[in-house]
Amino acid sequence: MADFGTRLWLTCLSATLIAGGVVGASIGSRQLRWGAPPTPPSWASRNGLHGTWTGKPLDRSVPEMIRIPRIRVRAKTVALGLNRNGTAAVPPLTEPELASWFDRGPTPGQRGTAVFFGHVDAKRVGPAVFYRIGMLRPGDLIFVTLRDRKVAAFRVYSVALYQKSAFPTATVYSYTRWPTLRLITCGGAFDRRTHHYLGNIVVFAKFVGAGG
Amino acid sequence: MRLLSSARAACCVCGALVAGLMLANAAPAMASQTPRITVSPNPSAPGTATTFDVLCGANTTSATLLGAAIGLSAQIPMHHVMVPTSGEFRVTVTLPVTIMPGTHRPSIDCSNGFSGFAVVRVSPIPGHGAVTGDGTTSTQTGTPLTEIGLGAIAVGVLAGAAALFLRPRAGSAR
Repeated sequence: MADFGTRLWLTCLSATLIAGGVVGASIGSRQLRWGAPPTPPSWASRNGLHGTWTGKPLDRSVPEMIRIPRIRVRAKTVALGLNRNGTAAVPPLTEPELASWFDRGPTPGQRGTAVFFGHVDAKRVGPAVFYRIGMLRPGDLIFVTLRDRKVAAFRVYSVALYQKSAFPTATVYSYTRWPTLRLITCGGAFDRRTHHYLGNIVVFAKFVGAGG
Repeated sequence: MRLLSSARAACCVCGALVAGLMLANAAPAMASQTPRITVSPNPSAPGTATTFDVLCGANTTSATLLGAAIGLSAQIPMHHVMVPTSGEFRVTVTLPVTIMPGTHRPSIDCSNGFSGFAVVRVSPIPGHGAVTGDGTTSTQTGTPLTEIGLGAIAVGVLAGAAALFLRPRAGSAR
């Protein structure tokens, strides 16, 4: 048995919940679930590779793991080369937690440019291993564990977003006398027609030492 | 007749011996005419600044890198290293981004007539940026607000049903 007040209260509650639920579900269904990948501000893109490096480079040793504390990345790496069309091979989208190291170039800590690729997102997980690298800033640290158990440390000196149509191949991949590192993933606007991101986010880092 | 052919054979043997001796003496001289050439870095990569050093020897006034083999100008003048009399020259060029991976052999000519080939190994680099990701985070909609909203609708329907089906208490106002 219920009195009039109880029924009125239930009716009001019901109406409020249904109306609020419809509004909430409507807004929620239109918003992006994760949001587009973070893009770096223009000031983060700068040439910080000044001066001459007098340290001792590391011996060649294949990387096994990459760790980036600032964006909570800790990922295994695989060695990959080039596709037949000359583009960089990357891990399959079914393994979005992996990063790949470009095995035709130097290993991390050797003189030259060691390059890593990683997915920005994938259907299975949403944000993938390099989703947040656009949040890195000059000064952040990157650690790479090598097969010889050494851990090479790198300091970020530039983070930039480039359009794929004008990708500065020489700037990104060319040899550097200082041991350097590049992290590369997709970013910028997403073209729904071609199902590709229009840009690449590139993190530039330089070797600062090794431990382990 | 037999005497004539024997003499001819002897002449041939002598000629061969003399030629052999001349070649043997000439070989070290030829070797000394090849300038010492170094390339750094080696291997290099497309788009990379690459330095060519050549030691032509004393009394050399200039040296030239013939760049056509690496997709550059036909003649690239090299600069003296240290003192002009050292005979050492250097030039730094940027390899074209379109250069093919592999081994290239541009020639370097010294003004004293010596010349040699630089051996430039070019490592492959990816042709463009990378294709990473399928756009999931930029296209997939549906935040947790959607689930919360649907939950609120379900609770609201239950509350409404309860309000409809609860029997009014006897004697209460309607």
